[in-house]
Amino acid sequence: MNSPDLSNQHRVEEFSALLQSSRRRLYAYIYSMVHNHASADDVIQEVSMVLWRKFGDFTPGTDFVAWAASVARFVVLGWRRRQQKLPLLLEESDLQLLAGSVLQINGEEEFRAEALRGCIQKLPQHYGDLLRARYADELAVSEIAQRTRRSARAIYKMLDRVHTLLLDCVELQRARFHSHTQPGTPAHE
Amino acid sequence: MNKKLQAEVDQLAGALRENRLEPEQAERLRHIIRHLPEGRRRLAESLHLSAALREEALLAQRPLDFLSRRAFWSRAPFWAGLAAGLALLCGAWFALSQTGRPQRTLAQASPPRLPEQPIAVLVRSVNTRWRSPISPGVTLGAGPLELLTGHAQLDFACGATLIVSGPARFELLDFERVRLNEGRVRVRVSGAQTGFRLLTQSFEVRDLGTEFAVEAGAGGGQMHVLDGAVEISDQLGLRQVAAGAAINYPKGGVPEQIPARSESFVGPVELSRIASDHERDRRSTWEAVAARLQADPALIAHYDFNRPSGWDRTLPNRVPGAPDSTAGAVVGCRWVEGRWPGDGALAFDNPGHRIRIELPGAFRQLTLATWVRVDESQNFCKCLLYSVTELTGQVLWFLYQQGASDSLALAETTGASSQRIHYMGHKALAPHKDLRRWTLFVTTYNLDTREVRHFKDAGLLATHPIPNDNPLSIGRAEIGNAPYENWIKNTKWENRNLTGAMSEFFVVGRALGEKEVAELWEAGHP
Repeated sequence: MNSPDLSNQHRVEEFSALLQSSRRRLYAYIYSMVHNHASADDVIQEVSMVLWRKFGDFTPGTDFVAWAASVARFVVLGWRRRQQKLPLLLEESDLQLLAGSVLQINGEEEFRAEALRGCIQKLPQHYGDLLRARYADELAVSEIAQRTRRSARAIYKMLDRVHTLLLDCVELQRARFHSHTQPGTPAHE
Repeated sequence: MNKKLQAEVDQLAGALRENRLEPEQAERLRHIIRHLPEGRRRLAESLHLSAALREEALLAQRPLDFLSRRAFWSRAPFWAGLAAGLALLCGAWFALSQTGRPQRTLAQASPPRLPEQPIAVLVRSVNTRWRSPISPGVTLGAGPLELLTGHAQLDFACGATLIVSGPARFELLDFERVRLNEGRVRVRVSGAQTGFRLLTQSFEVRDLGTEFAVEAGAGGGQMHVLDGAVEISDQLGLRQVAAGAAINYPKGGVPEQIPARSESFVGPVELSRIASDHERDRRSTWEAVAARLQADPALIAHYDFNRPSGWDRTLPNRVPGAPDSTAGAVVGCRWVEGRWPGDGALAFDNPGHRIRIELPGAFRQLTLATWVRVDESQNFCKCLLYSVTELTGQVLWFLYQQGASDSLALAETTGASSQRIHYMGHKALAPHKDLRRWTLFVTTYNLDTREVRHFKDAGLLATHPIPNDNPLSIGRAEIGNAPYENWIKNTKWENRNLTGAMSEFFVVGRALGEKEVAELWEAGHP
């Protein structure tokens, strides 16, 4: 392995910029294999360190995300092998297929992020509250259920519903975008 | 894609996301991933959405004023273009409560919880190791406990005091009943009879205003009456046993009377002596490690927080030959007991409390280490060290709430427009579990390896690459707080003091290694 040239400030800045601009895509790729945000946080930290140590292997001008994903894949495999207490219901080959599909979505990252923000704005307030509780405040479903005096089952259903709403909304934006940018392609209304 | 498959995939994605996937659902999911590309795509989109929501949420909750002059190194790739999106998110995400008040995090909303039915308080621990760590002062509810080594004293709500010696497995059943599965305990009941009962596999003891001791294990058990009398229930029936008598329960055999032996069971006086010896040993071990660190030529400052005499509010820098100008000025903090009896610590329990220091120099390597006891979690930010001097490489070191727990963060200014880079160590302070216990926090900054490392106790919390080449400077700084600034009024940054106590602070001009941090923790934890 070539180690990075520490005295080369330009190289350091290049790594920093590449990692920062790729982090969201890399996080989605890792999350699609570990399915848990706390674990994804831990894994991406480890991946960042490995990427930095291996940065000498990266060829400038090539696809950084693809290279980072190949490194992340092995880090996730190592992480899975250490998870003896977790039920690992999907096999590694399934996860690779799934993560590969996530990487393809990643190609539309900027557009999707923008569309998602627009879709969140359109949500009824109680769905916005729910997302905040689950994603920003990291409350357990049982805690949300207790605070809102609903059953955990009802909260799970609401979560499923709001995810479906957002997915459909983003997909609709995507279809509209393509219908405008590619004449002749009908929009999916 | 047909709607039926889409609905099925969405439901499976939800189960996967919430860790509720049943084996038969996993089987179906495997089939979809392998054989139904449209279903796989929808599943990928669903997971991608969850990842995106998480990122948006973290960005939306980022501290906008105090921390965000520049993106978190580990968090925020799309910083610049997100202002509009953040505004939308913040607009949409109101408090979960229906009152319209700002949402508080779990840690903010709830002080350390008492168990639903408080049964006993862990009053004293001497050289203990628990299967699930607990600290003195904790209130215990019903449930099993396992003491691997050492001695512990539990005071029960009914007035009984129980001293348990490890290894021991026992279970608190309610406020007057304990089941002992294995180990040795000594019970003293103050005043009149309380009805306190101790159960084992072979017998049950009920106090009649007394002191008694019990040993239980796979090989049988023994019950010794040391003072007063007890009522015992076993295979021979119900009867009273008076002081001086003991009963031996051989495994599978008939109970037999033997003389009571007090010396086999640790009592309060013996526990005090053991505690005193143990504390002396621990203190001398810590002093040896601290002395070794003091001999390190790279040591810049060591504040030991021992109480000075009289009205002196100066915190001397214990580094041999350190100039007086590097001593700390204590503002408002009060002296409290530290990690051991007789050990000093300073409590920062008021927004005005702080220690002012000035440490000149710029460092390519730097270690910040402190023993901290966080008593309350309500302050969104709890500053450990806040450099006031506006320089490139200015240091901010703090705990701050991220979700349900607190992260340990090091921030450095990068010069241009006072931008900052933040290096985060997530889950440094867990709600409830880490409150009111002494914790060692260490952060190392090393430009030679270009790594920032965060440690909690003896464990590595996080490692981050350093993108710049700026040596760090402390200069004029505050320990345990940050200076008041006009913009923080009526924001969640208004109070930035530690809300707890600090018992030791080291600044070292080199990056300590993992082994050295582990040694600090091993020798220094109470």
